[in-house]
Amino acid sequence: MERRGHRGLQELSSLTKSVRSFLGPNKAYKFIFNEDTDDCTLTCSAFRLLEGLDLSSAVGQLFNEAVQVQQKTYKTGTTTLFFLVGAWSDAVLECLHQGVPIPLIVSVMLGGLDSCIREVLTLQECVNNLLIAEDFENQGNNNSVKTLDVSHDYGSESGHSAHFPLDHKKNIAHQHGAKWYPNMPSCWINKLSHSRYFLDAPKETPDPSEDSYDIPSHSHTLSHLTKALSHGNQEPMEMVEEAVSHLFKETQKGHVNHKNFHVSRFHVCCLPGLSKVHLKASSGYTTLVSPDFVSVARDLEGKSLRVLLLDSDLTEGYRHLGFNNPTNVKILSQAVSSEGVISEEPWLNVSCRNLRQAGIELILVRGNVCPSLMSLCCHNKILVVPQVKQNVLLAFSESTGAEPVTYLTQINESCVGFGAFVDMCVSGNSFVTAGENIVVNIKANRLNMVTVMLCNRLVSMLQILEDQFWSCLYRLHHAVQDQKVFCGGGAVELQCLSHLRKHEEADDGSFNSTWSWMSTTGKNYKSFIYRWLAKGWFKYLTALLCNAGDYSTELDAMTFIQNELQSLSCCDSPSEYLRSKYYENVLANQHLSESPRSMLVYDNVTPKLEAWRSALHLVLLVLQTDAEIITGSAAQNPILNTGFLKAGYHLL
Amino acid sequence: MSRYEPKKPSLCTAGPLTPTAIRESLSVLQGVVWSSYGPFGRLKQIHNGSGGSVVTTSHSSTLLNGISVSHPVLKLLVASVRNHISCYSDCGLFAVNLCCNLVERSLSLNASHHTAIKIIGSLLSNCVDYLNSDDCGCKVAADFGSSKCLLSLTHSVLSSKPACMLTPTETDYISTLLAQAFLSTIPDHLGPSVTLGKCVLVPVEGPSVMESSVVPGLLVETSELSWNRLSSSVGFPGETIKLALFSVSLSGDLCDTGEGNVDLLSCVNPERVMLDQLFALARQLIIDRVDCLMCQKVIHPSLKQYLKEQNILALDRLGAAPMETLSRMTGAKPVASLSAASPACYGRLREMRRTSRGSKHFWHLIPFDTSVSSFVLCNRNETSLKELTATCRASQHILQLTLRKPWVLLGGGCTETHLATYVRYKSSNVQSRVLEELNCSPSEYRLVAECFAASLESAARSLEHDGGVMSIDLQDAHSWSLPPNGTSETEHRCGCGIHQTRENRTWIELGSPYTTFTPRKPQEDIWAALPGQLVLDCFSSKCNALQVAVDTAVLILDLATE
Repeated sequence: MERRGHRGLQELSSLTKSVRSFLGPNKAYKFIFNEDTDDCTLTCSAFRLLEGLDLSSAVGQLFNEAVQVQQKTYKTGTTTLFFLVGAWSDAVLECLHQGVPIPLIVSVMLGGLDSCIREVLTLQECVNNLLIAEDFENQGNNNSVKTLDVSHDYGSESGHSAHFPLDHKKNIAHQHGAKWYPNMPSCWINKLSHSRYFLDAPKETPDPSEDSYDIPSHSHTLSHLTKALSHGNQEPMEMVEEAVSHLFKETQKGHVNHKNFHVSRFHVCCLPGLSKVHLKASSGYTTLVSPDFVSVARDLEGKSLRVLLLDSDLTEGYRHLGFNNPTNVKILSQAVSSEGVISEEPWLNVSCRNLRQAGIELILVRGNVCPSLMSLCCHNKILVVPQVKQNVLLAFSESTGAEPVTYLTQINESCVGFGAFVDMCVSGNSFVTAGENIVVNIKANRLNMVTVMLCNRLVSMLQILEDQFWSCLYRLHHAVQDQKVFCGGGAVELQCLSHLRKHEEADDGSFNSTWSWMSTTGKNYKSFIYRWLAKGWFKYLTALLCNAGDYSTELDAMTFIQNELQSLSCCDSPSEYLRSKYYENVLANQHLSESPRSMLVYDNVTPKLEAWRSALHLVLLVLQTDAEIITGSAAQNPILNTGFLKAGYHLL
Repeated sequence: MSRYEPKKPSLCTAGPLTPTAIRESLSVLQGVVWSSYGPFGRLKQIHNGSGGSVVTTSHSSTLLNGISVSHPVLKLLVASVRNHISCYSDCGLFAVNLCCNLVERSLSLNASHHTAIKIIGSLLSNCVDYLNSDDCGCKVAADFGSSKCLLSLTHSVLSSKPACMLTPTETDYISTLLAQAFLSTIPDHLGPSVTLGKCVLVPVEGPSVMESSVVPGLLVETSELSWNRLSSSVGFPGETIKLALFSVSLSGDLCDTGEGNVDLLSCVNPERVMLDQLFALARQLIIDRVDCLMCQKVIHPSLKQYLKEQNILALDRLGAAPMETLSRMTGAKPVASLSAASPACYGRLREMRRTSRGSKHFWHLIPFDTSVSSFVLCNRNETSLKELTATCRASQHILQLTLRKPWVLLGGGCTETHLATYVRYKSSNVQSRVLEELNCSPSEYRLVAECFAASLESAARSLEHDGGVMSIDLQDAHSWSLPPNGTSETEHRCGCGIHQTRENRTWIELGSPYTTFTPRKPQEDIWAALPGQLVLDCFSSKCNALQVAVDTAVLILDLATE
C-alpha cells in the first residue's frame, strides 16, 4: 500500500500542464476569432495527446478514463476538461494549503458548480428546426413578418421539459424572444408550427418598428449555426454543412431537427495523397476498392444491382460469436463403405455457387474477405467491398430491403436487396484513385447516407482533418439534439465568475450534514472556496483570450476580464449584457472589419456542462483519496526488492 | 497463455506469534479501514500496479475483496469480516476497526490474556443481551407506517459513501427511489408464506444520477445494431406474449463434448446435424405459436433469420444473471436441452417495449406479475457508478434485513458511545457471582471493561477525519462532532440526529474519563417528534458486526502467546 499526501492532485496538475504546453501557444480550440487554423491541428486532437502521456499511475488512469468518456460520448469538450482538471487541481491544492477541511471543499465546490450551471442556463439560445435555404435572409426581409405572443408560448412549454427550472425559461423568453421572432420569415413559422414552442400560438401582424431592430442574429439557418459552432475549424465545418445539405435535400426536404439528425448517417472516406480539390461531400457511400475490380465496377455502372449484406467475415473459418469449435473431435474417413457418402465440396465452390444462384452483384462485408473468394467474385463480375461499417450496412438494409446475414448458406430471396447503384468517381477524364485503389460511390434509392471525402497531400494531416470533421459534426449534432446552444466566446465562463462572486456570502446551507462540526463552520470557508473555484474559470478565460490573440500578455487579458466582471455586476440584466455588449468589447480587440453578426460564437450546452462536471468530479475524487492499494503479489515483489519500503509503502 | 507455478509445500514455523508481530500487521489494515470509515472517510484507489483498472472506493466489500493480505492474522480477520459482509452487507469497516482496536488495547493490558478473553466474552454477551432487550436505549422500532424510517436508512447508507459523488439532491433522489423499489418488492397479499419480490439493479454509465429510475419488469440489454434493425419491425400486439426461455446454447456447436475424444465419420457434418436439430426445434415453436424466444447463450444466425421470417422475436446472450428472475416473472421454465421444449415450459409476458438509457439499448419486458422491478442506476463515470451500484445493493439488503427484524440502531457513533457508557456503568457494580464465574478480581474486570468501552468509543471517534473533536454528552451519551476549538455557538445535531445542541448538556471529549452514569432513554415516539431524517444503522448488521469483531479479536488474542 502506498500512502500519499496529495500527490494525486499534484500529479493531475502536472499532467494537464504537460498537455497544455504540448498544445502550443496558439490554443484556439474554443475561440472563433483565431484565423490561424494550421495550429489548430494540435488542439483539435487533444485527446490523442493522452496516448503519448505516461498514464500508468492510478491517477493518470482515472484522468484518461474521464477524457476518453468525454471523447467517446461527445467528441468535443475534451480540451475544456483537460484544462479545468488542471486549474481546479491547483485551486483545491490551494484550499488544502489554507487548511480547509476536505469534506467542505467537496461539498461547497459541487454546490457551487451546480449553482453556476443553473445560472448559465439563462445564456442558452434555442435551436429549433434548421433551414438549409441559402437565401433565407433576403426572404426574411421581403416577406410579411408575423410575430407571436411570446410569453404565452413559453408558458405552454413548461410542461414538456423537466430539466430546467421554470423561471429560467421565462427569463430566456423575455430576454430575447421578442427580438427573435419578428425577423422570421413566414415560411419558417409554417415549418415551426409543429414545434412545441409554437403550439397554439396566435399569429398577429407585427409592429413595423420592430423590423428595423438590430438583431445579434438568431436566425438559425444551417450555415449560421455551423459558422458559430466552427470554433476556428472553418474547413471541416464547411464539409459538415455540405454533407448535411446533401443528406437533407434528398431525404428530409431541407428540414433538420433533433428527430431526423443522426450522426450514424455520415461516413468519412479518407483519400491519402490527393489534393484538396477532391474534398467534397456526396450522397451515398463512397469507398476504396482494390484495382482488380475496375472492370467489374465499370460493367456494373448504371445498372440496378442485387445486393447482399454480410454482418461477418467472409472466410471459410469464420464462425459466429459464441460458436465453440470442439477441439476433441476426430474425423474418421470411411474408406470401407463409401456408398451414400456425399463428398464435401470445397467451401469456395459452394460459396461462389450460392452467390451466382442468388444473382448477387454487390456484396458489402463488415469484416475481412478471403482473398481467393475475392478474385473468384472478380471473375464472376461480383463487386465485393470489405470492411464496411455497421451503420453503413444498416443504411443499405433500410434502403434496399436486404437483410444482413452471417453465412452465405443463409442466402434466400428475402435477404437479397435490390436497387443499389455503383458509380466510379471521376475527376476530369480519369478515375479518382488513392494509391492503387479506385474510388467508387455506391447509392441506392432512398439511401439515407452521405460520405465526406477528406483529402490532403500530407497523410499525417488526414487524421487531424478527420478528427476535426467528427468534432464539428458532433458539435452540430449536440446543438440540434439539445435544441440549445450557449453564447460562446467565454460569455458562459464570465457568467460563472460573476455568479460565484455574487453568491460568495450567501448562506444557502451548502453543507449537507447537520451533525458534523463542519456544518457550523462551513460558511466561514465558503467565500474562500468559491473564490478558488472561480479561479479555475478565470484561468480558462485568460488562456482563451490570450490564445485567441486578443491580448499579448496574460495581464492584459486579466484586466479585461476584471473590467467585464465589474460592468457585469453593475448591470441589471447580466445575460443581456453578455449577449451584446460583451461581444462588442471582445471584438473591439480584434480589429476586424467583419460585422459582429458574422462573428457570433456558440458553444454546445451538454458537452460543455458535462466537461465541467467530470473535471470537477475527477479532481474531488482524487482529493478524497488518501491511499493506493496495489493488489497482487506481482506488484509486491519489486517493491520489496527495490527497497521501496522506506518510501511510504506498507505491506499487508 | 497460461502460467503454471509449482504448488509450494506448507511451511510450518515453530516461532511464537508475538504481540508485536500482530500489532504491526494489524496497524496497517487498521490505518486503511479507519481512514475510510464514515461519511467523510477518505477513498482508496485499488489497482494492480501494472495498468489494470482503478477502483476508487470506501465500501467495505470492495475494499476487503480488493486487498490481498499475506499475514495469517490479517487473513483470519479479513475472512471473517468478508463473511459477515456477504450475509449482512453493511458495517464491515466497523467490524475491522473495532476488532483491531480491541486487540491492540487488550494486548497492552496489564492482565493475563486468558482472563481478558473470558471477560471480553462476557461483556459481549451482556451487550448483545442489552441490544436485544426492550429497555435498550440506542435502538428504535422501525416504523414502516411512514417513509421516514426507510428514507433515513437508505440516506444513511448512501451518504456514508463519498465515492458515489452524489450531491444532496441526488442523495435524496436515490434514497427515495431505493425506498420505492423496496416497497414494490413487498407482495400485496399475505399468503401462508411470504416471498419478497426482486429489484434488479441496472447500472448505466454516462447520464446524470437524476436520470435514474425504477421501472416494473425487467430490462434486457441488446446490441445497438439489432436494436436499430428491430425498430423497423412490427411490435407486439396488445395481448399476451408467449415466451420460450432457453438456458442451453442454440449456437449450433456440438454441445459439451466432455473429456476424451469424439470420433466422427467423415460423412457426418456436425454443424449441419446441429442446425437441423435447431430447425426442428424452431418448427416446434412455430406450431406452439410462441411469440418470443430468449436464450441465455447464443442463437445461430440461420436460426435467427428463420425465426424472424416467421415473426418470432429472438433475443440471445442474456447471460446467466437474469435467467432466474425471467423464469420467475414469466413462469417460463428454462429449457436446458434441444429436445425438451414442451408447452408446459412456456411463459407469458404482458408487454415488450424498446427503450434506451444513455448509450445502452434495452428490451423492456413487462410481466403480468408485479413482483419484479428494475432499478436503472445512472452515474457519470465508471468509478462512481460502481460504488453507487455496490451501495445501492447493500441498502436493498439492509432494508430487507430491517423488515425481518424491525429495529434500527442509532447511527453516527451514538450506538457506540451509548454502549460504551452502558459497559462502564455495568462494570462499576458487577455482581460477585459473575466475578466468581470468570475467576477474576473486580479490578481486572473493570480494566477489561474499560478497554472494551474505549475500543467502542474509538470506533465512534473514527468518524472524524478533519480535526474536529468527537465528544460525548453526559446526559444521553450520544456522540457529537464538535469544532476543534471548543463548542460551537450555532446549533447542530448529535451523530444520529435525535438531539440538538441547544438543550442544556455537558460534553467531554471521547476517550477522556468520566464518572459512570445511566443515559436517558429516548422518547417513545421519536418519529413523530422529528422534523428531518435520522442517521440509522441496520440492527442485524451492526449487531452481527459487533459479535464478529469481538469474536475475531478473542481468537486473535488467543493466538497471541506471551
